Amino acid sequence: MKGQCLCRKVTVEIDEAPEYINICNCRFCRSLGAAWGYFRKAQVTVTGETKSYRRDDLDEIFLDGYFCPTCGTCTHYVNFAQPERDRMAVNTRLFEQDELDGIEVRYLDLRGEDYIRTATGKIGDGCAF
Amino acid sequence: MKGQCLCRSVTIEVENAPEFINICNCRLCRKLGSAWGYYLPQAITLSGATTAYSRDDLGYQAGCETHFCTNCGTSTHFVVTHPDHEGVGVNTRLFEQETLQGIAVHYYDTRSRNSPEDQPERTGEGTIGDGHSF
Repeated sequence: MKGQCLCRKVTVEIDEAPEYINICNCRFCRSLGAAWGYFRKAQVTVTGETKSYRRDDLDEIFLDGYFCPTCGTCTHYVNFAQPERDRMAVNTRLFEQDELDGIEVRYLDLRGEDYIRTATGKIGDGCAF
Repeated sequence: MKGQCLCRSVTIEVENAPEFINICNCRLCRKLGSAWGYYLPQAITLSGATTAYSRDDLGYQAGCETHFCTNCGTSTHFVVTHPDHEGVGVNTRLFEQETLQGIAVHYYDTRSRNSPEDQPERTGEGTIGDGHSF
């Protein structure tokens, strides 16, 4: 499955649809407006120029977020603090929505100390894009 | 009300909370993942460096220019560029979620929209704080 940013300069290819998609309201996820699917690194091929951003406002920093420098679309993030952890996240909004129809969407409220799952939806339910 | 991008390089200040927020799945809105509140251009104050992008894949002149933080990529706002209209869409995700609590969120499916004249279909209703409208 191939996805692209708004201006089509960045392409992300994955070898299967994600099992589920997370939408979260932590500062990182809410600011970037991403809907994350999770993959092993070998499952993901990113082509085209991306720019990375690493937060400097946290006690513990572990993520690099990537976006297209031409159109701003958030493409993926990588946990750089645990390179041995074979996992990365792709913004599933790169893919055509029709290709994701029916996939479970988990809404997570992270404003407190713990994750709270506040809702479950699925792509195609009229709210989960 | 003041909002900031992820890295806090860009600040947008508005006088009032938006009346409502739109979340839409057209190519532009879905890729950028924004939740738009609407304002007149003079009602917002912007500071910090943004990069502008206008679509060139529509087959007609794009009616808006989108802006994002050059440093962290956060979508900040769009500006209507159509000569007969004015307006700005601010990404309400710049503001703390608590300051938007209770505001109506309209969900629009525009996958079946073929021209700028087609009215998008409203497919869902929410409010900020309902557990899925962030």
